[in-house]
Amino acid sequence: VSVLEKTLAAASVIAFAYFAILNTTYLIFTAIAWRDVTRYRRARSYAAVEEVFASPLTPPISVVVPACNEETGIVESVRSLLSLRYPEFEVIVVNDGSTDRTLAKLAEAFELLPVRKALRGTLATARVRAAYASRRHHNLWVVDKENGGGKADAINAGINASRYPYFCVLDADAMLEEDALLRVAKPILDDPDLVAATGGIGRIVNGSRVDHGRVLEVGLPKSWLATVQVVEYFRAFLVGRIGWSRMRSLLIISGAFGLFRRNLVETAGGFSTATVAEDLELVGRLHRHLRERGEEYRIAFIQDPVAWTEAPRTCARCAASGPAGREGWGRRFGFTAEWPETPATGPWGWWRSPTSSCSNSSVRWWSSSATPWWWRPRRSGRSRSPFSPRSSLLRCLSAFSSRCRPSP
Amino acid sequence: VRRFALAKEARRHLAAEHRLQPLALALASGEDASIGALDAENAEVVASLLGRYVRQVRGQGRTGIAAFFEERGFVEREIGKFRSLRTWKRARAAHLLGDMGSDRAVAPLLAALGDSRRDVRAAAARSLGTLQCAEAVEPLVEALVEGRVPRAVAGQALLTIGASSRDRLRGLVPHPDPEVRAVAIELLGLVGDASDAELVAAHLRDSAAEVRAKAGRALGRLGAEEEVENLRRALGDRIPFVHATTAIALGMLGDREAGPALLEQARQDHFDPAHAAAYALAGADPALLWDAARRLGQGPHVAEAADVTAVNRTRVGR
Repeated sequence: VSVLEKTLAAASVIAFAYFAILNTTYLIFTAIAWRDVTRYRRARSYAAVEEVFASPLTPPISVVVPACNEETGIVESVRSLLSLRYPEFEVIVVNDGSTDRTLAKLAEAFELLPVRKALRGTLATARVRAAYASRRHHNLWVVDKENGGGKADAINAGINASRYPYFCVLDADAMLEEDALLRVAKPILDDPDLVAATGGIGRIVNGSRVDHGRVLEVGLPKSWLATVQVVEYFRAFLVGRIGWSRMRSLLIISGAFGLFRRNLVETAGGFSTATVAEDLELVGRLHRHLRERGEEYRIAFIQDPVAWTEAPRTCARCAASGPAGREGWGRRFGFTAEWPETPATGPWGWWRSPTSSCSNSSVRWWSSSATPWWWRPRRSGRSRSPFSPRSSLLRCLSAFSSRCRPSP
Repeated sequence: VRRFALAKEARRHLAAEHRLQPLALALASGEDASIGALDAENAEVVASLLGRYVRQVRGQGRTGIAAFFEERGFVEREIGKFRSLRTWKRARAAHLLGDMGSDRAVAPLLAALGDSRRDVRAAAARSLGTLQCAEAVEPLVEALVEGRVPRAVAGQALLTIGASSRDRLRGLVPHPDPEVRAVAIELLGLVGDASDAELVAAHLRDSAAEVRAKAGRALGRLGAEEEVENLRRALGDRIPFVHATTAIALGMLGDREAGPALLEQARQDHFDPAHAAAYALAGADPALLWDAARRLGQGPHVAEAADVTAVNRTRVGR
């Protein structure tokens, strides 16, 4: 038997074992998700959503919307946010150094006037140039800042400008359903001392009928690529996240739609600007922070409040979205070396983190590597540190070597 | 296949609702509508329609709806479901009983406040509020304080019970447990009136900071102008969040004499109390706020409140 045959046989066994474990995991999760979705659907019939909406005891929420060059859809997005059903909330749009007419369009549509806004200053951000209040809507603020190199910096600026004890992060191009804020806040309203963060589901809007920032009729996209992504979103949200949430090992609250306790995020240091997957990184840090403090807590995924987003329609755009997820999960894979000392998410974290990191980073690596080079867009200056097997290996080795180093 | 079946079922239900809506409206408005010929399925549809209306109707209409549910055996059927082992069945029964408007449901719902599952307790609390059941006030406050029922749901139930819960809340204000005191004072601030101010004001000197904060806020909501002196003193409290709520109350009362003290607090570094004080000053003495905002070194909160007040004035003028 030649060396080549031995190598191929070993690779086959590894690949088989990998997919067997992965598919078994997802099969189990599908069963868990089925049970959970059924239970949740029943619970909707007796959930006191109207009472929560009417109650003066419902805590207010700041909705933070980071926007960088979003002139095409920002006005519609903000309009739809202002019509959300929630007793008391404010919308803070953070213009993250846009070079297009994002700010001008907002100023025009909502009659913005400059105000000297007090900022908390608990999180460091790029310089805030100005803040604006709307003449039309008392609960709309726009914070104009210099580009800080990523969405995380813009969110941190939004947190600094927020007044309320909870904040919801939302992508500027996402559309929320009318009751989405009430539903995503429900676990926090039920257990304010226990729940640290909650996240809703992302769905793809391509093919659906939309009017004034509201989805009127759900449909399937015409493009096969977008249709495949619909399935992928269902897999990620309705199977993966429900399963991991049930095991209290949810490692990600989507940055497109997530609700957080503000003081907790401030104590944990806010969103990290050192990574492009700031949502994933923050949730991991929150787990570690809360476990180290010995607090009982819950980070929950809710399967019902929907944030609708546009999926990439071309392979080139799809490949462009690859690096964020790839690097995020890749870095988490690199972090595994630290877990034996400080398991981030408890017993299940030992299984969950390497599994997800391997599956997600490898899938994303393969998917975007499979894209022909002439389809790929030129990389912007912002994300020049993509995850690669080599850099991941180096990260693991350096983490291990620092652990093995004798303490002074 | 399941989706098609569900869609077909939904269409059928919608058509039935459309057909039976006049009958349900006649019942809700207290008219003597003929319901004898309804089969079980149509009766379910009428029940779901009446369930939606019951929260909006009072008097004869409500009595008529309750009588419909009682005569048709819906109330007994739902009460029977409390024996089910399935949580969702008990919770759903608790929810529906509130929508039926029948007083027969009160005792089982009070018992359901002690259910082992949170969903059932929350649904029972909400229904007790819908039924405006005065004897549910103490159990609801206890459930709220112990965290057995979500705060927003229990609070809203107590507010829906309304004026009849006021006397019982007054009785809970001197409770030895500071959490019960805080909740009772907060709710009294929402359902009470100016005659409750003296009782609440006594707790501005409570040993628990949470109670002092709630008392401050409640006095603002009650419009207790005679208590402004006590509120001004409370601005000197050593706990920042007590300052914040007291400042809000003074702003709500529009107390101009508190202006200098509010301005002093608005200049401080603690974000929330300073923010609250600046906006309270905008309500109490806008001239003082604008005058301060023109000077340097008054802090970011004073500047923000002055600018936002100016924006609000242009909004009012539109």
